[in-house]
Amino acid sequence: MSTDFHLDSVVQDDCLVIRTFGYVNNMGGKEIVKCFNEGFDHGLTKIVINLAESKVVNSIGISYLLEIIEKLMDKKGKLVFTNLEPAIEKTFSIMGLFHFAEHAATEETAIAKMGE
Amino acid sequence: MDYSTLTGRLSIHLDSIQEGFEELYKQHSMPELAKQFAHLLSGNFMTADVNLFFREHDQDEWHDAYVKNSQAFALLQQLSIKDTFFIYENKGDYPLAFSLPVAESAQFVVLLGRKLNKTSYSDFEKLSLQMFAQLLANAYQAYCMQKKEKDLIFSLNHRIVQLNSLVDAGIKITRLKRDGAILSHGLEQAVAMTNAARGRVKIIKRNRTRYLYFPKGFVSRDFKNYTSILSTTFTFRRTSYTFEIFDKESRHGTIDFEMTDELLLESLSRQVHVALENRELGRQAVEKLRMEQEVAVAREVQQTLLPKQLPAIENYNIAGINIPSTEIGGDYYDCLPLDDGRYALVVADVTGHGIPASLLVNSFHASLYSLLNSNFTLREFVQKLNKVIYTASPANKFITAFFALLEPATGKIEYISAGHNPAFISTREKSCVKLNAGGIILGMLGFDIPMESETVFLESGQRILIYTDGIPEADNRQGTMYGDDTLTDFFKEHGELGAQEFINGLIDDVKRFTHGAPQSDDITALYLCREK
Repeated sequence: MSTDFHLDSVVQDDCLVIRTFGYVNNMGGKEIVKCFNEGFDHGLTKIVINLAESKVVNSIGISYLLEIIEKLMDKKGKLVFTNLEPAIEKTFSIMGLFHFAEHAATEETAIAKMGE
Repeated sequence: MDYSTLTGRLSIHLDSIQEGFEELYKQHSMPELAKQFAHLLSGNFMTADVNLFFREHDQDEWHDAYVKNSQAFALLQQLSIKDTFFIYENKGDYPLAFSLPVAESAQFVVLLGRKLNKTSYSDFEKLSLQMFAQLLANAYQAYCMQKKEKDLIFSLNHRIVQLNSLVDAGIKITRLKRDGAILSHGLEQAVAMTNAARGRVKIIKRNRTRYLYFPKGFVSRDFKNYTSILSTTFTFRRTSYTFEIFDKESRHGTIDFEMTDELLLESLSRQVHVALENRELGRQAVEKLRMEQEVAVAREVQQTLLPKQLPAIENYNIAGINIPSTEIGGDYYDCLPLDDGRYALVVADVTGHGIPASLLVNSFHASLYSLLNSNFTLREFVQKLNKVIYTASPANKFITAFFALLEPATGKIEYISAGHNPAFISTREKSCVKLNAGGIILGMLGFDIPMESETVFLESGQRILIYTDGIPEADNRQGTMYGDDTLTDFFKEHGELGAQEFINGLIDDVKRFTHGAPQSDDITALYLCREK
């Protein structure tokens, strides 16, 4: 089965930056959680998820993002989303993600927020 | 506290259970819950080897909840698991185990390895194990309730997102400029809102089928196998559009689409349909506006061909009028002084309306000017004009025309009617004669068509009226025409009027008759009276 989803990640200033590409659905959500867990197991609790190349997110994808938020809350970690499409930002806001996570315009501002 | 006594040890376990509950209650996932419980047992029972297995329902397979030692699963297979709380005592690496039914028909089995101090589990420990088991049951129930609460909130929020997205999608779709973008956005939203794994739009136009896919990486073969599907079709401008979405996702695999998904898909499909229709109507409105602008320009150009003022002819009184219908008309009239002192009176009518008719009027006008002062007879002149019109006009466009050459001093009028309505000339007896001599309409045949001219004389007090069919064929709301007879009567009865008054009176009479009905054809008339 083809899919357009893929991601890459990089550790920068003690932050795990995950960049997604394509539809964030069940498969995309699983990939993000897998990438997050690898960093989390190595002690990374500052996470940036850049959704610049993901224009569509469904609610299953969002449930995986909530899973990440819950795990980070237990360890007093922080999650910042960046480069959100206005429609996705609105969806995240309604789903309550911004009660526990933040959002920033760019990766740089997100990393800067980690120190606050 | 004396920890060597039963009370002291019980106190330790009770404290540990209290702390354990607080810790377990905070856990958001089954693996974390199992892990924390295993740690709790390790600390209280002095064993490093605690393993938890879990199944959601009686008939389900056991799966690892927390496994310290992979060999523990082999013992689990050997146990005859009861569906009640039961403590199993075994020989070997796992001397103690218990089964625990919990909320929602789920069940745990916990296996405890040998104690670190190599001693056996005491009766007290077996007894207190029941308390820890109860703790796990309570913690699991709290976990289930918490999860249900979260699922409910998530589900409610998801419904709000769906409604919000439906409204936003409707707004965005109406703002998109291209049909492809409208369809793609509708598809994306349909897939995302229904949690479908993928979708496509099938577009069938003139037996040719093409697809739009979402997500973009998918191709035709990815749509052959699926577990669930939902589709809806609409047809617009002989093109069929089918929105299909496939495999509704859940965290536990593919599930069936629900009624809400069907409603969402149909709503989005309708929004796309309306947007495509609106775009088409918008395109048509722009095209209509462009056409109207072109027609306005063409009408303006055509009006410049008509005389602003007719020449003053000594001892004669002349007036003319042209009232185009709503479209650009094909009527023409003029009175042109010739080099030899005569005047050419011309009234013409191109078949049809609009830009093609207007262009032919232009050709007619230009040809008239270029041929009039040549030394042709009237018959030769009309024949030459016919050839030019034949060449210049499309197959279905012709011109009827009435040409009259007036010699002012004598009142001699030589005329030809090329398929035109007969002109009226008054007689001394206050009657009228219809001038019919001529030939067929111009532009129909490309050779020298037979044309007969006739000569009449206009004496003092006599009049001539040349007109187009817009006057006798003017109809009222009942579909009745003004008619030749009414026109004839008007002509006969109003000989006392000056030229301009006659024209004004005639138009008023026609308007009175049509009584506000839309003018279906151009109205043109040229009227000449000889005063002396």
